[in-house]
Amino acid sequence: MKTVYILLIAFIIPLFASNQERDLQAVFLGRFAKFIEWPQNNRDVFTITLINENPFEDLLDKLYIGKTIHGKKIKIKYVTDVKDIGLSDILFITLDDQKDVGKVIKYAQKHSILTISEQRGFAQRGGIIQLGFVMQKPYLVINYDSATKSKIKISSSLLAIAQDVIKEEAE
Amino acid sequence: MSSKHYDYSIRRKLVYFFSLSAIIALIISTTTMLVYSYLHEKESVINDSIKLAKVSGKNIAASLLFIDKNTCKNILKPILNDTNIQYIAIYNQNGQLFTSIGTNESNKKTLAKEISSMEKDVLFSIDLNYINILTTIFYDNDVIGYLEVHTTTNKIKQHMIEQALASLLIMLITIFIVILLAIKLEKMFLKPIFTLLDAMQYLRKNKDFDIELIPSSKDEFGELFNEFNIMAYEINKRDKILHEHNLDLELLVNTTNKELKTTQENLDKVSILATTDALTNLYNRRHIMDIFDEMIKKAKENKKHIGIIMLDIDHFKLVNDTLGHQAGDVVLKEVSHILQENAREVDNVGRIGGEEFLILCKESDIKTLKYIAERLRKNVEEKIIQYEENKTTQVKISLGIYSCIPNITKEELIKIADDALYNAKETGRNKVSIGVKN
Repeated sequence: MKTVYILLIAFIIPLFASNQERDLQAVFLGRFAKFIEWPQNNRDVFTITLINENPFEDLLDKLYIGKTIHGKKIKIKYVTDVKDIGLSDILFITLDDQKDVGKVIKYAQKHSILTISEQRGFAQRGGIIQLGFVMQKPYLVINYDSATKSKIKISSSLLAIAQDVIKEEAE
Repeated sequence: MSSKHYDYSIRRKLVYFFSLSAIIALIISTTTMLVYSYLHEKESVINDSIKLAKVSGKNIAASLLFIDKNTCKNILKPILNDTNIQYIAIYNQNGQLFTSIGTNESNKKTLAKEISSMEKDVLFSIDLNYINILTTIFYDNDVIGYLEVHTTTNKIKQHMIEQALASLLIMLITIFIVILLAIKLEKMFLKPIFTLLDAMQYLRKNKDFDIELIPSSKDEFGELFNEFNIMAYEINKRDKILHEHNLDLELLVNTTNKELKTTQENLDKVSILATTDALTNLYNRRHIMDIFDEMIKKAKENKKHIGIIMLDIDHFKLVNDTLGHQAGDVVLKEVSHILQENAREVDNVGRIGGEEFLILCKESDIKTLKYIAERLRKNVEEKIIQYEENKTTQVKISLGIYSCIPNITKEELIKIADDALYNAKETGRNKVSIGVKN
């Protein structure tokens, strides 16, 4: 019954994301960073990249420009092609084409980028965090194995609030 | 200590003193310990809550930031296993209640309203039943919310009760030890005191200062015993000297008494010699005249009669010339003896010249006086006087008498009596003649 409920929610979330949820989504993008440990790098900026459409309009700029994450200035980057992703820390994916999503995930894993998307089945396909909402409450599915492949460490605190954690060892 | 307590025995005083000291010391130490314990426990509870906030903060950070109340509750639930923790509330960055678990028994005392004005990372309020602590939840050096914990003071109370009971037990044990100690000390202190007391009572009853106490220790009691021995020795020594002095004094007193007695006897002799005639033992002239003055004075005062008898031995010169002065003296003695024997007890008889005599008769009218005079005359006349062995003689006396309530001088009275005597001589001797006032 729980699985049916979860699947139902997963279908509904992307279709009916309200403005309030979008606002929360924007806030959560930055908050995820608090619970993630990236491999050491020499970059002095923290880059949040959106690929494909920008559902937040100027919200991300308002929220993050001039602020820091892990002591680094935040940079918001909007791209449409995987080639343009470059060196990023967080990648929010709104691509519809699953093939493109697969390419992006592969790229992200290679460059230790935290991938986040609201698409259903995103975590199952190799994405790290699938962020949805049910009744304006966050609904998280985390692919731990994918994070490990990306050399990204996820805090147990974040794993604790995930409704589903994909982890081979656990299975 | 009231005056009544001064009468208590040393044992009671010792027990009181030690018990009181122990109780006061234990009360002070127990109170200090309880206050310290209370402060320590309070500090401990506050520190535990701060640690809890730190640890919980890490665990619930994600649920707080991603608004997952259920997960947050699930994470916090095990904390309530500690029965002392009654209530946990999580507030977001803005101080709004995010979620809570447990029962807020002290609802009115929630610290949520303090968040906006919170200057420190930790706030707490404490009352008899609860310690409420509000701590800031940090994550990655950012304030992500606030955690309020309501902990009962049961643990502190329990701990303090245990400590109080332990203190009470220690107090009872201490008092018991103190009482034992007091009894032991009492023996230690009282034994020498009683020894000293016995010795003093012995001294008082027997007056025997030849006594010595053997000190059993070298402490103050030992010194006391030594001082007592010295005192007894000194008193004994002084007593002996006093005794010797007493003997000397007694001897001196006895001697003095004897001397005084002798002196008194001598004085008496002198006095007798001064007032009596050595030959006849009758009053001498001077003394009978003094008595006469006194009798006249009293008779005047009392308005009573006074009687005078003047007499002499008839032809006494002839006795001396023919029988010798020694026989004359015997005659004088014998006549004096008769006069003394035949006068009344209250009458005074004196020798005022060679063979002249004066008899003063108290409160005697002329009739009484004549009766006495005749008796004297008769007894002298009948008396056979032995002046030597186998040698006797007889003498007679002539008497002049006069009686009156005196309103004239002594000399005038004597003159009247003397004239009466002269008259008796002139009219044949061996008779009584009554004097007449001219």
